Amino acid sequence: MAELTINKLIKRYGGNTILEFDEWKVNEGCYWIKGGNGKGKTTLFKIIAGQTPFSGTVALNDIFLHKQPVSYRSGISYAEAEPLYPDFLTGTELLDYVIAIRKADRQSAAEITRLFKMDTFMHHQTGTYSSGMLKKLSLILAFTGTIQLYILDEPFITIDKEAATILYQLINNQIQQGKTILISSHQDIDPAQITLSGIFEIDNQHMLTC
Amino acid sequence: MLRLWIRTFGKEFYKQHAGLLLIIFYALFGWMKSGDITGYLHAILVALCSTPITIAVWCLFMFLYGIKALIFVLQKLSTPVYSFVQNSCAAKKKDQLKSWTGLYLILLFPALLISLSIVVTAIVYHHYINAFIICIIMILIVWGVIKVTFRKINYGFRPSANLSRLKISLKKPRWTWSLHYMLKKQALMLIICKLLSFVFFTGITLMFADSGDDIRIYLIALLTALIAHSTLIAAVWNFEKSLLSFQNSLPVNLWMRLFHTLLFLFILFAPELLLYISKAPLSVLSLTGVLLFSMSALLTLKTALDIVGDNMGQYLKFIFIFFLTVMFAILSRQFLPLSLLLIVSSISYHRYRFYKSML
Repeated sequence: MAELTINKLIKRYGGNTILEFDEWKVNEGCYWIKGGNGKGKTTLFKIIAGQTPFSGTVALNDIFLHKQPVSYRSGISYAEAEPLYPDFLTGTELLDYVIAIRKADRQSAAEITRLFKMDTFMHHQTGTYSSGMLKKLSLILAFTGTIQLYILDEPFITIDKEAATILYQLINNQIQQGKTILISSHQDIDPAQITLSGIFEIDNQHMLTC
Repeated sequence: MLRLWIRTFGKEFYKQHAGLLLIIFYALFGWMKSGDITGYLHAILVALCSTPITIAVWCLFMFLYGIKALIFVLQKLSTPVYSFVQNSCAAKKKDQLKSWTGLYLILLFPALLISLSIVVTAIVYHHYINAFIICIIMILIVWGVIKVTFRKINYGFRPSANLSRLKISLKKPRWTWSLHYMLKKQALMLIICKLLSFVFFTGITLMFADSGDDIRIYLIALLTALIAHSTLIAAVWNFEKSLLSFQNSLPVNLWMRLFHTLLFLFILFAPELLLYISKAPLSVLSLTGVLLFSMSALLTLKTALDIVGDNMGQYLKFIFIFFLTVMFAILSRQFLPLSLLLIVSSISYHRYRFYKSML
């Protein structure tokens, strides 16, 4: 079971406060984070992913990001809304890197690649990928390894229906294993596809329960 | 259109290359007394316009600068952010050519200004053929870059000839990524940087050739070579910030990150270290000291970028102060304590950033 705890979070860009709330806690299950453009969804995800500085504490199963950054990061994975990779690297090279870092099982990574129908493109440089293929690659990398918390920023944009179905399957598998999944999406999430454990909305710098 | 090109391509070009241009300027004029600059400039112009070799060198420089500007524009055009430029195809050919001419005249302005000065000097000194050659080369370079850009935008749908039939695919482990970026995307900047580095190093050792085997001369030469790498380090820093940010959510520890950085810096500076070994008096102790000095200086330049971000003005001010401080430390034979201080400070700052998620 995974538990994400955020306390006394303040995030500012210059003098502009983007996020400010005292406590937010989520356990296992899938959570949908809503909010209009510029409300701070991606910023929140970057904070949880350890990609941007902030005030406050973020912990996964009592492992604090600021105290044990490597242990914390080994429990999370983050798929960006618009992933960017060096265009001279191939999908395989990126996947090999993530497998080595996460000490992940190569066969399960290959299986996810096959499910997304990316196996024939993995030896191509990412500079030749379409935006949908880049998105699929970022999802493959995110689902590689043993992860407690998945942070998926707009995971359904740019991918086709077939890939979205695969993504729903992967998410459901992780939910069944007691993992935590955070999803931000402007599109409605089909309740027939995923059972949501909670819906939150970022409004006026605060996290509200819907 | 021209105004838009200037605000996008022009502004970005000078933002990225201000460091390199100012370093060249400082290297040429920074050490002169203000009263001597006019005479010095005159002597350079006369030297540049009077022999076929110097003219060839200058033409090669103009050519490299032109290619640099062209590659910059073409690289920008291939990014999604600049896809709006394709809309310019709808304009008349004459208007398109006019706007690209305007842009390239601005991008090539420093080289064109010096070229015109050389032409005027050549005419004054009756080197009419030399003046004519420089004019022709100048026109050909400007015309060439405009033509290539125009064709790229208007006829980009035509399949290009595949020149790289023989592709050697080597595995690219993580520690090679910055090197690959440098070789594939910043090849010209790398060549210019290495040329400058070599010229600075050799120039200083020759200038003080009568001072015997004083290690300080070689260290100052090495310092100028280090400073010549500052723009390249800034380019690689930008690459790592924008395209390697995905690894910031991966469990990579601080020491592995530092190891990758130091290994890259070592490989980057290895030719200069070999140059140093071939010229300076050697002992194991001095070699260790020089290695520490080089790595600490390069890591400090990279750390400075972490602090000032992509503010090139601040970065240049830092380089200037850094240069003076290290020069003073070398002259007073305190370069080893300073190197230790720099490397410890840089590592401490990297550690601080790592624990604060300021990656």
